[in-house]
Amino acid sequence: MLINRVYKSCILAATICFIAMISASAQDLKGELSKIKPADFPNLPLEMTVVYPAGGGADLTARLLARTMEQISSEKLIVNNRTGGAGMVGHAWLATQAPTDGTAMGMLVNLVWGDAMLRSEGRWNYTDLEPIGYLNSDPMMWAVTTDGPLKSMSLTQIVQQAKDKPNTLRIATVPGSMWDYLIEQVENNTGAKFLRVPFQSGGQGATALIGNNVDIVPAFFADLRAYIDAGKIRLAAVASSKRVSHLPNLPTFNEELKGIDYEWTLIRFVVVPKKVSTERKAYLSAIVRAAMKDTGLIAEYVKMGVDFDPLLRDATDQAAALNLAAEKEREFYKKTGRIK
Amino acid sequence: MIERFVNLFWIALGFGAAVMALKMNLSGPYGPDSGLFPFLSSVMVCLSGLGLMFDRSSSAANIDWPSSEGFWRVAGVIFGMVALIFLLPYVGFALASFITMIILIRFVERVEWKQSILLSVCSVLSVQILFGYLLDMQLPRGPWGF
Amino acid sequence: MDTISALSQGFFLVLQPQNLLFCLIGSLVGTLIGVLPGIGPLAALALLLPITFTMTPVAGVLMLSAIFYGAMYGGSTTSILLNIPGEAASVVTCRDGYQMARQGRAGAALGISAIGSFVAGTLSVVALTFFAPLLGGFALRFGPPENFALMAMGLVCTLFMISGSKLKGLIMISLGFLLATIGIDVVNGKERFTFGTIDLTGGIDILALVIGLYGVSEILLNVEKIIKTTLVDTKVSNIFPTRDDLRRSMAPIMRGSILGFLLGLVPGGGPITASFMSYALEQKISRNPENFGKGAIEGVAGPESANNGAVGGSMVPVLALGIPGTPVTALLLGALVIHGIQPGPMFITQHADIFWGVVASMYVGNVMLLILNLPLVGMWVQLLRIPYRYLFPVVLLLSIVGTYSANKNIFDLWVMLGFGVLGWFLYKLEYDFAPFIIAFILAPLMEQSLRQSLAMSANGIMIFTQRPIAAVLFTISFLLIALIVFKRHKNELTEEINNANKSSL
Repeated sequence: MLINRVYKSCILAATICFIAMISASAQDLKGELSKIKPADFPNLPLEMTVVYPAGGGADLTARLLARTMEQISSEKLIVNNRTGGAGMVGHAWLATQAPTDGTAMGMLVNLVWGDAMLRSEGRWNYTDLEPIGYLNSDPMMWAVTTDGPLKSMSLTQIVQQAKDKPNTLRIATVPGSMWDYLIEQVENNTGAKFLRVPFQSGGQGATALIGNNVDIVPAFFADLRAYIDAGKIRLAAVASSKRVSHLPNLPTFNEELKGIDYEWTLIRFVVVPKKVSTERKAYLSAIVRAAMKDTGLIAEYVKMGVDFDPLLRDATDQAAALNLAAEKEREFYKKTGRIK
Repeated sequence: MIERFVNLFWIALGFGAAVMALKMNLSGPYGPDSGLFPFLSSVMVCLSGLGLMFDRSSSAANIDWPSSEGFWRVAGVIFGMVALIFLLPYVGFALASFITMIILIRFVERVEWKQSILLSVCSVLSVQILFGYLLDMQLPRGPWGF
Repeated sequence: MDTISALSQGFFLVLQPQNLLFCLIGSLVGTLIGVLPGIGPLAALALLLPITFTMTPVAGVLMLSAIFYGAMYGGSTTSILLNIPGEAASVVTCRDGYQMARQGRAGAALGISAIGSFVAGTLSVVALTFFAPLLGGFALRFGPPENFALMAMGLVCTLFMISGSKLKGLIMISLGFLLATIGIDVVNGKERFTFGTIDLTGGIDILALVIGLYGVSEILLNVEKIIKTTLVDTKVSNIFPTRDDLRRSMAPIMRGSILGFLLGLVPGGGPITASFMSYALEQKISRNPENFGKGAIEGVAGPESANNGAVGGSMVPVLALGIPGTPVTALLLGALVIHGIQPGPMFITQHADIFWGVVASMYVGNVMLLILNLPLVGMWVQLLRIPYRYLFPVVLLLSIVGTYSANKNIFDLWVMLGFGVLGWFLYKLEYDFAPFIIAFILAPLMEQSLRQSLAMSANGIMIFTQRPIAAVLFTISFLLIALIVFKRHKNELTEEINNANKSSL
């Protein structure tokens, strides 16, 4: 019918304009970047350090980003894994030993704040690393199997069971990080008691869940997606302030447990050592921010199931916004007696 | 004699480590804590050291210590390695390994100068090409850019 | 049959020229990586991952798997020729392989290594082809208690390998455990034995340890005497294994393949444990166990087959369930994710073409690697004819670069040198390093599994009796220990009788 045809042509025209704009802006982009590129920098390939093992969620995020950054800026970018101590080794290296000439960057997640505040023993601070770009966020979720005793229980019911029969429900945790904190929060607020089984990552916990070695696993969407698609795992709730856009039927912790501060999100961002010169910092930051506007990269991240927090993404000073979140975490540590 | 010192060393090491391990908690909220494994292993080291002290049959039969010349050669190699590792962050990989190769080939093995230099240059270059370019690894660079 | 037709589709895909080319490149690179000491498959895969972005998913995973396989093939080369393990899974090969090389039989060792790797690789892919989903389910049943029981069994097997004083072996095992605790406690993040330095927070790097303890110490030992010419005194005779060699190796190869495959399946296993267990098994079964450590070809055939079998086994959980058991398979998984493919339980059905392509590529890769490696044997053997005084500095250089390549950390080089000197010293005093290495490698996962098992158990240590697989493994371990004690007792009794006989004469 005519209306349909007009409608379709409009969409087509709009798409063509959009693509033209994007390609034009891509050209503009390269031009703009070369304007702020400092002289004689870089004379070595840029290195992005990931503190987690190759192949994991953080590593993939970094490699996708690095690929886009290379395409946009024509700079050579190598991704390097410095693993150990659940990130501690890489964090310490970035904060204290990484070269400060601008060739070293790190892709971090906000777990670095815990490392800095609780475990660095005064040797380095999270402020030794300055954020130059926000990437994405991943709210924490609790999941159960689809064929166990918890298979049709809501979060409220699960917590109730943990309260009625304390120390029977096994939950995976990564000690000393937000896995622990969320469980602690739930236990303190509701009187439930879980049996905590330590793992090194959410992914390992998910494997344990499938093998019936734990009953509940807190993890991020990327860790669980394959099993959800296969129908083996079911999400119970998400610990964020609003429901996640691609999972509209998943209730939040706040909704289920009638709370206001069940918010635990993994935030990923890029940093450089703070001693890097201002012009180089600005150049690198511009590349990262430009990459984060690339539709291809955004599509890849969406496929991984991550979220983009508008407060951080659209902030004019992303570094300040991130540091604000860091200080909020410090408050939490003080409140729960982890820091004096 | 040497063996007795070594056994004493094991006992001391085991004992010291056990003491340090006790300071980390042996058990905690999830069951055994950080200190348990170190404590158990260090106790084992200590006890085995004690056992070795008293068990004659365990000691090495004829220890094959090197001659005095052999000893200096070993020392020379160790010195060369120390030099290399020490210089590496300062003058970069190429120069540091070149210096060390000269030390090893010329002084320890007594190869004549021309051959030493040739071999050193060739091997350093080929390693640099293999790892630095082919495998795209960043080897440390010295102040002169290579 | 359905599987066969699906597999033929896979072959059709793999045998296309550009995919074949990538398989070849991967095999070459993998072999090179395996031969070079230090840089291992994980580092190589991480380096080459970006190149696969522009390829099709099949080609990309094909190349990466070929690198993985190739590294296992090549890893035995320097172990045999120079006593420097190409990667940790080849440590065991050093034992008898290097001795064989000193006796002029490097060619036989290298040849058997390649053949054993081929047989094991092919057999494990066959198992993968027909039983992937079933085996995946089996792998899932290995939780923390089973992992702990399996590793305990592995440790007991090490007791068999100890030549010489058992007390010294015990010290080595305990020391391995102790040194492995240096660094950060994986369970709760606390620092242990770090003395306030950042370098020790990462713990002691296994690569630096192994290269130092085996490679550097060997060089120091050799340098003592002026080696006028080459390392090998006798002329290098036949390049290839004799018929007798092949006959003796067949059974160890078969046993090693199966053992390796099974151990590759489960998280507590992997190529390293497989190689150690195979060695212990062969030594136990052999009619002449005293030959082990002096150049017994079974001591090369078994472990080399086991570590390649384990590679095939470790692919099962990844492909069938999307669960990576080792860091390398985790990276392969990541490569698939980057290409937009989510491995998981639905992988085989949803992306059948890629699954069968990967399986077919493993067959092709194995053949390719065998064809590549056998002729190379002749070339490698020529290497031993280089005068030692030219050879060893280059080897030292390679060791340094290889160690450095792992973490780009100077501290690792000091560790390497330190353990080199220590190894030289302890070797003189007749200490055996193999138990140390395996204890060091097993300790972190073992400790974690133990603590996890106790954390998830409502009644403490009884969990090990409540889980059938764990209970079975523990029973086997106890039986093995009883065997050792009994055998020692029997030996002592026999000695007493002999002494009594002698004194009565």
